[in-house]
Amino acid sequence: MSLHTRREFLSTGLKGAGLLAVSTFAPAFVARTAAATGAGRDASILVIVQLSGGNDGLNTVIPFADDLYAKARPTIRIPGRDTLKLSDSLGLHPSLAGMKGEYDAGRMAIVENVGYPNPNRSHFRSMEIWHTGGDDTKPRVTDGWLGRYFDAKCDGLDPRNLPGEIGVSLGKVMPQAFRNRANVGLAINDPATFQWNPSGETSTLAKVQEKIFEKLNQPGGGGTMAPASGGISGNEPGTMDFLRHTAMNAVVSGDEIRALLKQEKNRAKYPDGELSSQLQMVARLITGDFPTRVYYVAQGGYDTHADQLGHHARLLGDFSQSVTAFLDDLRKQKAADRVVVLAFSEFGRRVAENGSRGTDHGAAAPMFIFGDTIQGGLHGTAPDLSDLVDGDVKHQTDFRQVYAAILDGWLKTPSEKILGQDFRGLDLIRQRG
Amino acid sequence: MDLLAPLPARDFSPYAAAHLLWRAGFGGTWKEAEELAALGLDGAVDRLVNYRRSTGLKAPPCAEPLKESHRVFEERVRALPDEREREKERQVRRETEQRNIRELQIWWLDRMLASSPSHKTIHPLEEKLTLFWHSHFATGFQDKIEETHPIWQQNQTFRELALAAFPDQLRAVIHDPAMLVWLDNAASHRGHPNENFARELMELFSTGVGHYSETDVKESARALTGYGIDRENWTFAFREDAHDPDEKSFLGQSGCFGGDDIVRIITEQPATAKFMARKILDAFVCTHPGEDLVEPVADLYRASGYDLKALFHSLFRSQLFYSARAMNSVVKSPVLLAIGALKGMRAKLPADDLILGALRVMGQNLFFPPDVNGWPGGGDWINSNTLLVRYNFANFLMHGVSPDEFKTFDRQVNRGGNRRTFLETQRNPDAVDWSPKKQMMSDGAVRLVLSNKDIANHFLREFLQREPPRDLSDAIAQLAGTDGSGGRRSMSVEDVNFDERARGLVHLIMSSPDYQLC
Repeated sequence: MSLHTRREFLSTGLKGAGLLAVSTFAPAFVARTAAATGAGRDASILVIVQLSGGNDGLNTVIPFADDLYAKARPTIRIPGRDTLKLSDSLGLHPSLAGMKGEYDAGRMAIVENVGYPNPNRSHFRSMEIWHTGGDDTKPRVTDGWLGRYFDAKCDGLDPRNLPGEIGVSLGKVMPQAFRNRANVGLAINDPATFQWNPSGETSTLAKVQEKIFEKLNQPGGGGTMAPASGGISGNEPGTMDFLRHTAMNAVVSGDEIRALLKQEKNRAKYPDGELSSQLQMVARLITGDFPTRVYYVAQGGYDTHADQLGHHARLLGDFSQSVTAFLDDLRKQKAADRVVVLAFSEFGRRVAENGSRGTDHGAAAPMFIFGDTIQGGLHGTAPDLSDLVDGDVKHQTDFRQVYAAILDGWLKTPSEKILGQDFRGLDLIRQRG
Repeated sequence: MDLLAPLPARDFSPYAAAHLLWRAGFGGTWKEAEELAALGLDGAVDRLVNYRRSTGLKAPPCAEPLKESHRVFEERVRALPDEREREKERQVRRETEQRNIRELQIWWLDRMLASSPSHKTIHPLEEKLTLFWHSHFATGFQDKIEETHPIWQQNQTFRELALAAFPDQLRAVIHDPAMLVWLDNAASHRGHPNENFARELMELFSTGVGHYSETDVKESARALTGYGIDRENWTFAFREDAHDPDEKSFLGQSGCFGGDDIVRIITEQPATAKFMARKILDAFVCTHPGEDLVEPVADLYRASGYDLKALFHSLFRSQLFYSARAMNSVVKSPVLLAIGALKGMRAKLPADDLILGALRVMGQNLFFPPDVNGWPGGGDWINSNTLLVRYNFANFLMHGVSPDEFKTFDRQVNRGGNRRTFLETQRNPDAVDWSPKKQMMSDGAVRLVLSNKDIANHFLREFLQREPPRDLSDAIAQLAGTDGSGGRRSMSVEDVNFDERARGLVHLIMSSPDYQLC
């Protein structure tokens, strides 16, 4: 499609009376396109890295001096001499060399032994707990913690003045963490195809097709709900509206994102891999001032029930190299002081290895925070391997304390409102200089 | 139960029959819907549900056991002197199997596409249920199995047991070699039971979360120790020496339980009937079924000894199934979207890499479920990314415009391999062969003079297969009346570019939110 027709589409799309009047989120994409012209340079940005499957915390931040560790893991322990030492008793997994550099420079924080009460060992439920910020001691929450943050940013204010009110996920699925009242957010897999293409041979026909496409996908297009002749047709009203919102949001954002990815460059050497390519795109959107404040990327494969040593080493190597390349890239482009990276996994793994040279689902595990503006070093207390519950370590720091530190200190939003409880106290962010 | 009262026979219109075809199969042509409607409600449901099971199907060549078994291969490779050579051999084997699993995907998609109420051996509901069980007992090729034969075995098990009673299905699953490897049970032995399979057996496959304790997980894991495989020929093997024969206490019962006892006790739980009833209703009847529906259906299902055939007989004949609560409430899965569209076009599958690439980016790569929870389905099929990909897929079907992402293989499948990247996005020979005009002619649907509205309604009936919302039919009619220069000129079947313009209409129909639902 030519730029000309695209611009026209955008302008008709945005000025179309119906669209602005009835859509709950139409102002949001107006804001984002408007913000692209200037705002956003000073906004602080959060990048979430999800390590899916349950990362083995004890083989990531390794208590090599603890006899109980060696005893629990006869075939898969990492001996102290192989670790990258953090102290006399703790060392990082040897695959995390890049991250060790960040740690030594005070740009990596490790929060030890993070979890929540009544740990759930289901991947799905535990992931849901991390995404929503609820836990099994309270009524179930389905909104995401970041979704509530976006809602809070818009509350009672004109969202056109607030850049970055939706999250961007680089991948095929939308994280539950983004779920909010308006149920928006962007998931982008391949930016090249993130557009609707008319098929008309001539630009005039293409324009007619675009208009019709827009009409069919216009949020709040009430008329289409009713069947032409009453009777059996009809559907859950929410689904059609959700489809239309999703389509329009995608089309309008897609142009902007494609333009930015084309215009911006990565300036660090990244490894191959899924996580790396996601982070390369995030870096370009950040340096291009795409007006969102939260990005979401994921790396899978951490469910290491069997023969975990080699597999886990490869995963951590990929994680470390991808994240350090990303930080390096931002640093070279003078954007590093605007970005904080937060890495988590849905749970750690059982202290004792199983009979298959692997580990089963466990509970608390370390979290990792990166950035030029953070309070680096070790936070929280190391797990006590002599005091286990059901074979798992007891958590000492609640993951929502980490969320609170990020919300209050970095996203400048009162955390209590988002998390429903006062979780303040952990100091992870230095004031920005 | 009022909700399951049967639909009055006279209300079983071709639209109702089309709805049944989408749910109990993969859609079809409008003609097929009319033929099904002519059988009457009972006749149509019988035709779909009382099919002759595809037992003893022969493995397609891609899924035959590898000539060199895992052990023989490893022995030969380990004897090689050079590490690089060893790695090369392994790479060759991996790539062969990656090609094979893709051929198996195509083999299955071909079956789905061929399935029809009038087909002698390939039955829509049988394939639809095979897909349902594949997602329910989600097993992935990647990482642990990496051989096509066990994946095919499992696929055929799901096919043969598609309508079997649930306890039989669960029993098959705890003896299924691919599953036992996928969830790490094959190496589980007494003293060190691996809990992965035992946990998912309840959480995802039967009772759902909240109906068992951590102790129940540990105890059932003990009962399942020794359930292993013979890797030589991918058959189930019970390893007596690895099995824990001692007493276990599981969900309130104790005894020296083995796997079959675990299945028996699990299927005695009301929670299992409820969990499965909800899942079946959600997939086949209406998204997010309420408690008012789940409870009675669960009771019916359990009381009948989990007779799935009887359950589908009543569901597919019920008023509920044809009510506004159920119709158009389900988001088509990518496979259903693609196969349904191709059926409407009476077309063959597009080139292998394109159809597989398209399904992958739409979020449903067969034999590669996202995790053991399978594809969540429903609204989760849709986000900004996948919706645009669906619309782009329509453009590909109609005009052969295939986005680059359809052409790149899954990085997981083809790690560092020969990923193809051709950038051309012009009309190309990959286009699916379809002539709307010929199809209209053969259906006798052509009159010389057709109004824009007639043409719009014709294609809406063929593809959307429900009474179209007025806005949609007006919009398509408007497009039918617009020529290449944007002027107003009606379409005529005598136009040389009739097919081109008709494809443009169907592209728009498929780019509507309405088309995403069935």
